[in-house]
Amino acid sequence: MENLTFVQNVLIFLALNAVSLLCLNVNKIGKYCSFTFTLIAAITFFAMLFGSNSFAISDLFMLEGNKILLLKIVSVLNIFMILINGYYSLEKVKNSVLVSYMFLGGVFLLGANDLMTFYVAMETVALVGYALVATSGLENSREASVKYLIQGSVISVIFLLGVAFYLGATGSLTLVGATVVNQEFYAVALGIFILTTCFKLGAFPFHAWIADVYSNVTLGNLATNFFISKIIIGFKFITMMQILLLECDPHFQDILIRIIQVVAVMSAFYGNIMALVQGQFKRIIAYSSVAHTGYMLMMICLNPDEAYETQLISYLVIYSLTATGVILILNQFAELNKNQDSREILKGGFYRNKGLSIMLIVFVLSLAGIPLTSGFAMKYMLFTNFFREGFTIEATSILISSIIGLAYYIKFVSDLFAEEAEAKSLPTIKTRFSETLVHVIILVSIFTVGIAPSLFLGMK
Amino acid sequence: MDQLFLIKFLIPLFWAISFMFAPKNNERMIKVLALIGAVVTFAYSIKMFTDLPDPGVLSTLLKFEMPLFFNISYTFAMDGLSGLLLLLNAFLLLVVVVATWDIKTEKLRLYYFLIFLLTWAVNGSLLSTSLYGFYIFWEVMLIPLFILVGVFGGENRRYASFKFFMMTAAGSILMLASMCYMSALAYKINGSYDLTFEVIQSLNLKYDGFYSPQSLIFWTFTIAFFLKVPVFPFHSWLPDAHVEAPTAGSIILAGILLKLGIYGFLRFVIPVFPEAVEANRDIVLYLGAIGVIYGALTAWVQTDIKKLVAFSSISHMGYIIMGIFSQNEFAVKGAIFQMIAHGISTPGLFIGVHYLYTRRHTKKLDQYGGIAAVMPRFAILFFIITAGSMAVPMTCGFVGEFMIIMGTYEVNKVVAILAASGIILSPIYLLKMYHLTALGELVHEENKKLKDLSLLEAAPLLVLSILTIVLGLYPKWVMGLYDGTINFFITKGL
Repeated sequence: MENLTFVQNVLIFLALNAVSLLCLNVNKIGKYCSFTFTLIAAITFFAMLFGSNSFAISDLFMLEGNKILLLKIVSVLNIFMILINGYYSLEKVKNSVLVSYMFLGGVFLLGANDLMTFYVAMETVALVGYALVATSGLENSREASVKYLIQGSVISVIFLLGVAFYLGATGSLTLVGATVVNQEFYAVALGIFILTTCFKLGAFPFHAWIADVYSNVTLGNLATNFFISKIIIGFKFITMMQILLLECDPHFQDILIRIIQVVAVMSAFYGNIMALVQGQFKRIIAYSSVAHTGYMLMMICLNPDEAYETQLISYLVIYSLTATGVILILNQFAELNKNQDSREILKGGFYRNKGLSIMLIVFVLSLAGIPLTSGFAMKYMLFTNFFREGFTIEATSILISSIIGLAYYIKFVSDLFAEEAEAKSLPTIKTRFSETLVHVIILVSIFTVGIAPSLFLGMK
Repeated sequence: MDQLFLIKFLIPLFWAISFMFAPKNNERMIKVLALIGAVVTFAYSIKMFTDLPDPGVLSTLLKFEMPLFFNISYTFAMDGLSGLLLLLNAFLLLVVVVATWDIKTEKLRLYYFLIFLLTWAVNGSLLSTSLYGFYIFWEVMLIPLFILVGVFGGENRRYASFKFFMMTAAGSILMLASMCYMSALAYKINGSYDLTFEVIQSLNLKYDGFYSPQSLIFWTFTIAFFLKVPVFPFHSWLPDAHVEAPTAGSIILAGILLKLGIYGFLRFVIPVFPEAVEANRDIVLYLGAIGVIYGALTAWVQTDIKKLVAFSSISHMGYIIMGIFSQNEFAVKGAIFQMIAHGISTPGLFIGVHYLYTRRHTKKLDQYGGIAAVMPRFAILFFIITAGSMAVPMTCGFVGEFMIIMGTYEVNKVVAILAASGIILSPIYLLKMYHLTALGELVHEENKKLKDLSLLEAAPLLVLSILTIVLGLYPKWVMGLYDGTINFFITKGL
């Protein structure tokens, strides 16, 4: 019965979004309708998830346990994004429609139990991603989108090659319970999947698209990307790799884990160093996300475990939430400065809007991992786990790289207090109610997780 | 256990928050509020100290479980050493409020908010017996000082505050790495992430060479604390921070924050990593001695008074590091005494510089000279403080330095002799400073019109001068308060 409800709801979700898409280009009323339909679709979907523990469609698709939890969280975030986009301007409603499709792709990616379903879902998310970049309307958005599309397509082809090896190694496309008969093929398949993971998450040296894409999308779209794609893709790829590695021959497993560790450490260093030397804040965010990918990749090396899964969800949600908070505030500063993408616009920000600046300070301090914020709890939890599993050198190296991370985060704070005299002659930054509400929600979650992390992290 | 402890502990935090709600334009009211807050904080610190049943033993003030914070238990405790530093912290808060009473800024509420927040964070660090608590407050105190220097500081304040934050936070991350490692280990052994002294000791971290766990953890903590103290060659942030910081920042920084690095060594390194301390003792002793000489020589060539005092701090902190690492009872006692003495004399020097700066708007030594003629009250008080800093017998500075050198001599003669040269060098640069400011002819026309200190201005310098002499004549008064704790810092403790 539940499964039927799920299919029905997906169809309703699709239908409402299709109507929304049709209304989009009619006129102003059409845009209102589009916004309403998208919102209803998202709320209906969340209502369906509420109180449900599992959904399954044959062996190809199964949602249960932590995946349902994650889906509920992302659903709420999706509703928020639709509301924010709608509140900003009706022109941004098209983003919400696109994001709804990305969300649906994410749902199938999360539940995919089979490599074909996985591939189709992954491509759906990616396609919407290309569209979001292309429709950002900035000078080089289309160029960035094409570059992203080409690189993404190449990776998709390589991923398919990995699928072929996987099929050769196991005789099946299922992700759980496949019997490995050829360990060499299996290792090659996993090697290719690791490469795909690195590309999708933006790890060094497969990060080239990140800076280009981030700097050519609007901050609103960037926030969307964090909300939906980063969380779901991050979770699915990491948990999938954890499970697949278990079946690998110990010799190959050791080699693959070494590769992941090296990539993780290099991503952390490269991302942090590059972020430090950037002047445009979109690029700072891009490279800081490369660094955070390094931390995430290390989680692949942990054994699959319910508690680690909960921690991974908490990490992804909190990181994305905080990064989104930073992006939204930067957006407010940028809007008053002709959408200028430079750290310069933050100068004197404290004297133009104290509340907003304090929020930004808290958000970046959380990203930097200062105690009593969620960032510290996450950092502490992650690294204690790494040490527990014996990854002492890797964990220490990544922690050392985070010293560099501190530098660019603290520069944000420093900028806010700079050039007081000039700032006082500039107009104050006004905030809308919806924005303030979102910031406050993020602020509360940062302190709640920072002060009571065990509520969310399930440290075992 | 003191039932009201939590309220007392949170007073500076509540006071800090109260400034947010104070009327923005009523400067006088904000200042009075700050003064009352400082007096209350000082009063309860005295009360807490006098209520201590035995200063030689760590008395638990409050213990509670934190099931929501990694399921650890949290203990606030106090002994003679932490109590003394708590008193110093509260005393310096009062001194800051009085000495900078003349401050003119539109952001007065933010100014006092940061100072009280800083005081609270320092108290938190001093009273936490769990490494978690210590680390959390240790990190929290970086933020208010970073903003204090960055907003209220001099021309290059952004650079100075950034450098200060980065260098000290880098040390903190090293400490965090070790904490995560020990937590993971503690969980395997005890099934809990708790990191109290007892737990850290029970981990029995092996020491068999540089790459052994105890040695590596020792060095991560040592570098973190070296950066805070700061010890040569980790000192480069301090002169910049002092020069650019507002007077309040300089007083708190020199008076108490630097001591937290030393406190960290005494509380979390020496008692728990005894083999590593023993194996690396000479390295640290030499670094301390180099710091003494380097700080003194660099202070000698300075033309900026604040920078001179900053480098003198590096020199004095070198003595303290030597004292605690010599692991000789006499020297450790002297080092702790020197912490207090330095916490009295250096803030005094910074207050003196503040009074000169507010009158002449320059910190250049060559812009002064002969001001004793127009500012006799200032000249007398500043001389007593300077004498204390240069360790003249019968002042507080002498007692600590003498004990440290004597104690260190028994352990490492070369280091002691090297450090003794600091006793010759410190009068050279401090007398140069005093001579170029107060003595000689009144060369500059502007200096002839300088007004002497008002009674309010003289009050903090007078109190600090009295303490300089009283502690120099009767050091036992302070030493008696922490005597019983010494064994904890020179043996395995507990």
